[in-house]
Amino acid sequence: MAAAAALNGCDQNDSGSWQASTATRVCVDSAGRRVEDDRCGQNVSHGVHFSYVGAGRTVPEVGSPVNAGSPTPEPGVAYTDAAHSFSVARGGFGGTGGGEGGHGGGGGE
Amino acid sequence: MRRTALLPRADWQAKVEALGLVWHTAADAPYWNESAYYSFALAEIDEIERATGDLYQLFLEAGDYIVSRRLFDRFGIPPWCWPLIERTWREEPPALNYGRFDLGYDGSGPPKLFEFNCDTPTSLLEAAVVQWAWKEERFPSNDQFTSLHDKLVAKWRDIAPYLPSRRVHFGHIRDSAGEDAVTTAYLMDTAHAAGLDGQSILMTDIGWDGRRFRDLSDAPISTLYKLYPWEWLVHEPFGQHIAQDQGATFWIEPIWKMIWSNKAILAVLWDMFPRHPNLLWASCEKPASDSYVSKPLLAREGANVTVVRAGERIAERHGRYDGALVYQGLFDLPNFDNQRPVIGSWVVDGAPAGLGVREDGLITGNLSRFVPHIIV
Repeated sequence: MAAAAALNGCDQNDSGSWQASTATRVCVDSAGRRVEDDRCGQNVSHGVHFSYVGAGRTVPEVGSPVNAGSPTPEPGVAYTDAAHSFSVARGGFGGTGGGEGGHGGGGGE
Repeated sequence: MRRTALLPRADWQAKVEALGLVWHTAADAPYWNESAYYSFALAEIDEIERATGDLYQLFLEAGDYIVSRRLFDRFGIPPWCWPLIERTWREEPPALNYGRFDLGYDGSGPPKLFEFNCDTPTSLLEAAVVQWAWKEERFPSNDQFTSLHDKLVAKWRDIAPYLPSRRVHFGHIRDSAGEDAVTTAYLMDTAHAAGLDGQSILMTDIGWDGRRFRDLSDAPISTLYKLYPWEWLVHEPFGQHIAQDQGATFWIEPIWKMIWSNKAILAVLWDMFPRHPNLLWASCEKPASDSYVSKPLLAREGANVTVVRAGERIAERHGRYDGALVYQGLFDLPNFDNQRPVIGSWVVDGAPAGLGVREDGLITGNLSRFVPHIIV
């Protein structure tokens, strides 16, 4: 098993960030790195806070630096938590299976 | 190798259901058939095991041959998949490296390869768990050729440190009999036993956010086991996203299995190893001989297979598959009271791991019955 090569093959350095599809609030720790959304509001005394970004801005993966955003929200703007600030399409897999007889037409053989 | 009739346990349905085998009956007939059993001499098991190990080595050599020469056209694989196949073949990402060789065997000559189901093999729960429980109840002093469960757990444990996440998603489709859901759940159990977290997901529920695949709660899918064939995935609307996610999702088994699970490899194997004792003649050209079997490169469960003997079609199974055919030499399956068994010989991590027997007529399909076995 080429373990090292395998790990290099799934390098995720750049694959965890995305462009926010809507105005988004990103939870940031005192070191300026993104943390899980539910950390905000619990430990503000430790410097954890929301950073507010507009649609189209980059939302980094948890643990990565947050380089943009405002500490205060724009009045009248509804913000989505970072973990849900993207749109997800579904139904693009699974359409070929089914229709065979026997056990019910699965994907196995 | 013998077939012996036996009275089924009175409550066999409840017993196999308790082990997860809810698809024990199909078309009003038992799919799990314990009204008989097969017995093998230890020497016969040794022969099947040796052939299985040898065949795996042939597949490794054939894989190198195909990838190094980029023979993907022969397999009908879309060009956008080629770099992914080359990369995963070269880098060997973590995988179970499991599969089921379907073999013709009559106890008197060497086992002969029919095909290798190594992308989405089923009859796994039957071979790994259900027949063992039957054996323990009916023939406790006999042995059985199966180490599937232990080997699967060991292989998950082996690859766990190299996976990008402890959580593994297990994808399948909703099938009316429950076969796919339960087979996938069983594999998830083996991953649990190795210390991984499993989460089931329907293939139709897999999401794409423009950069990576996500589950129903929008969490990233970092490792995905799928009981869903590659040749279907790559032609579906999300198929090409597999090449766009920059490796964010680890696929088990890897996409290079598109080579091994495609019956075009039977012709490559014969070209590379002509007259190998465990191979049948095979070619993509129709043979001059008047006795052969033809099957589409990507047909499943015996669909669209035709058996020709002395120029006459003696068996044929209809289905929805078409396209290029591979032709294979005709093997005379043994006949036990009009039941013709095919040996499903398993590998995990490339090593022999047990067998299951399914019996039917000349063509083994998705209604062919699973019959347990013992070693005598």
